[in-house]
Amino acid sequence: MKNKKSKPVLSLSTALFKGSFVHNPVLTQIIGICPIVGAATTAVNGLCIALGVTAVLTVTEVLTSLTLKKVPRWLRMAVYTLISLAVVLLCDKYIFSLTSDGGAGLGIYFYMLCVNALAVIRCEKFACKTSAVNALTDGVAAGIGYGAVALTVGAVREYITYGSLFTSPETLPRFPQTAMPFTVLVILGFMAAGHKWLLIKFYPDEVRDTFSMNAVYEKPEKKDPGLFADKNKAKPKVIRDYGDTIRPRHTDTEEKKGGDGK
Amino acid sequence: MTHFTSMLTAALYAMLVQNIIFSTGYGMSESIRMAKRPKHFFMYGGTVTFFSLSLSLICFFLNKIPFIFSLETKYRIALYTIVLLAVYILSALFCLTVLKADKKFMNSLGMCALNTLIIALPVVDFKAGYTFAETVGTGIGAGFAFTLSMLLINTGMKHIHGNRYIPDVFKGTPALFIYISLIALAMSCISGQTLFV
Repeated sequence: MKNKKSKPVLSLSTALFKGSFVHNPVLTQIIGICPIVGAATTAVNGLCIALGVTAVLTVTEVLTSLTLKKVPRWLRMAVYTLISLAVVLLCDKYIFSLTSDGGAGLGIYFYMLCVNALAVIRCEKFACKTSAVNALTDGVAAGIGYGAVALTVGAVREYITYGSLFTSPETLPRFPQTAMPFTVLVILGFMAAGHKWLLIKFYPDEVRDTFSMNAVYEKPEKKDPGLFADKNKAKPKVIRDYGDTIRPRHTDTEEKKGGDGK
Repeated sequence: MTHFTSMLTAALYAMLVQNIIFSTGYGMSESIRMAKRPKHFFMYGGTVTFFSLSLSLICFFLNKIPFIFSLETKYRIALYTIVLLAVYILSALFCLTVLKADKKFMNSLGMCALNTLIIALPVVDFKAGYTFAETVGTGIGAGFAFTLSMLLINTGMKHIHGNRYIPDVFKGTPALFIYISLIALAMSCISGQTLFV
């Protein structure tokens, strides 16, 4: 007899791919973006953040899976912070050796990885309910996904600002505005759109929008009815239609009557 | 009166002129996640204010000790983190035993206490050399800034949800990123930063 409760076991490569790309923590759930916004100003800084987050996630998730399953949730959250703090303090000098300024460009953001929301969420949702091997896989996958975004953002910012990549910027910045958070958020917005486009094209069943308020995502084959759709047939469920405040919406029935509602 | 003015100025600065969430990114992911639950805004805001204020004050007095004053940044942040954990555990125990808080509140307590905004505040206070009144003002202002950011993001979420002119691939998270970037840009300009001049 088939056990209905058993879940299909993913292969290592599939688990890594899904954890890092399909369910990317930054581009789908906006988790832990503070270090990316504040510290990923160059490609090397992005790499440092990526390595730091991966180390924190991996160690915290494995230790959670091994020891913290029976601890109350409110206390577990404090323990995650302590573990992350220990990891950050231990690995900082190795990671800072990659940078030319000894980690000065990362500021306090690197040390604040100890309270990164990503570690808490992954531990709570996954690591405290599964085995250490699965937790390790999840930690590495989420770390790779987060790191890829941090590295890309850092590289794009460095290129726009200094016109270089992975080199120590010694010239004055061409566009110092890229240091401002809004630039990062715009880059992240376009990256999230690209990510969603790829998911819709290749993995339409995996598209989940955390921030659509009511899971408003429409499947790709259902085109948006647009301005001239029939009100009764294809009106999407909305809270408030702010589009109507931009220009008046005409319906098919009005068009059939003569175009101007006569 | 001077102390009150300094406190108010620091609070308004942290909240409006240079909103600490949108101008630095501290606590941004928490405020975005919490913005989905408008019913609990004031509870979240109040809890964040409590933690930001209490940690800022404790660290202000700790910084008076010469040994702590001369600590390296990494050890300073480690110390502040341990202080925050102590405050969090004491608050959680108080809520569990005295207030008989439910599971939902206890879950949100951790999210409100253990985030980058709370940890960053005492570091910012120390680096800026704030006085006692300014430290209090920044602590309160950060909590209000957090509440304001939740309100603004929630409003944006509703607009994005109801707007059918957003292309399919930009619906949801991408549009939210762009929306938050516009608020961050507005906040940067309020603080007097120039863009292309």
